[in-house]
Amino acid sequence: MNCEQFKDRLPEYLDETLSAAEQTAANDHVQNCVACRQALAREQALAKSFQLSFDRETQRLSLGAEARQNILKAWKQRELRSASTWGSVRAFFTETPWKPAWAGLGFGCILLFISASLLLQRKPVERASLQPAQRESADNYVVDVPIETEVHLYRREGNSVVDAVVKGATIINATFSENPSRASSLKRHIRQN
Amino acid sequence: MAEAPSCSAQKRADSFDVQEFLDSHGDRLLRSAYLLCGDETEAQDLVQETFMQAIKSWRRFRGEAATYTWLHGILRNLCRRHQRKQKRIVYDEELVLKETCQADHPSGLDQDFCATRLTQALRQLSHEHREVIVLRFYERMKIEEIARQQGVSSGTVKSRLHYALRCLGQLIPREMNFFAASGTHSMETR
Repeated sequence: MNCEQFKDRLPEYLDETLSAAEQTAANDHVQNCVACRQALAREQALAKSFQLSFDRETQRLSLGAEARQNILKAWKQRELRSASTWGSVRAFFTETPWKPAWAGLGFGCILLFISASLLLQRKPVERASLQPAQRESADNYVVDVPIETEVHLYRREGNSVVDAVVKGATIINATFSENPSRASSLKRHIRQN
Repeated sequence: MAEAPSCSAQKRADSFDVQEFLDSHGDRLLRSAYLLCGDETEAQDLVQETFMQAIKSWRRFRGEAATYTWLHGILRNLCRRHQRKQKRIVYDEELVLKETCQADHPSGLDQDFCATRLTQALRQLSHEHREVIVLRFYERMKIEEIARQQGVSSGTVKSRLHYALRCLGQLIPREMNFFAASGTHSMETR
């Protein structure tokens, strides 16, 4: 440790908050360097003279009787308040130590509200998609899907399914030649869209 | 300052004896307030206000620090607010104070006179520099503790301390020997 490093770390050296290695290095340096020893002595003397001066200047001061009484009165009122049920409830809400907890609770409520509204919006579609497929003939199945605003008509052409939208009706009949398992896959398709 | 932090606010409130605390730490808090604001009446009001705020927000005290340290934090915030209000109205008073401080001092430099001059010089520092001097030399806090209390780095605290001491060195006559333990001005050697 050189003189500049020592002077830079002088406050921490006096506080004894340096790491063990630094403290040892500082001890070694101050033993061998006269200038740093003087700087250390000056710093200690300065701290001591400031402390003495502040103590001397303020020793005549003491907390006034009126201030003491007011403080004691306020403390007593606080104790009385917390002893009553309503006071405890009020104190719980007004003096809660964890403001972030309340923020988290509020945020959780908002999330819950959003999820609930999304679930409610999905409900009619899910109910519609749960309608069972009815066998019309050996190869044909009919799926009734009631949707209030629009109607999806699914029609099979070759291997692909064509989607046509017709507004104003409430029931669709999707007729296609498939086996029951493919019919349920179509129902899933309706649910997803 | 030596109280151990307890586990819950309610427990603390039950075991806390405000009378005892006022007897043991009330005066010390007042003296610190006096050094920070420079006026005895204001200091009394500030300490009372500190306790009122502490009582109101007792549940917010998490017991991580000693009760005195927590109260001192409230006091410093109040002093800062008070200082901002004062700044707007007392420019002339500051000038008068400066003139008083620069006036001739009696030939016999007794310790009381030196202490008064030091306190007067302290009042002329900005609030943050005054605060760091009070915390370091009156509250005897370590640099790390001051940094934690003020929410700044240790480097900033050391820099503020250095600047504050340099200002005090300029404001206090050399004959008072605050900065010259071995004949050299402390700040000039830095």
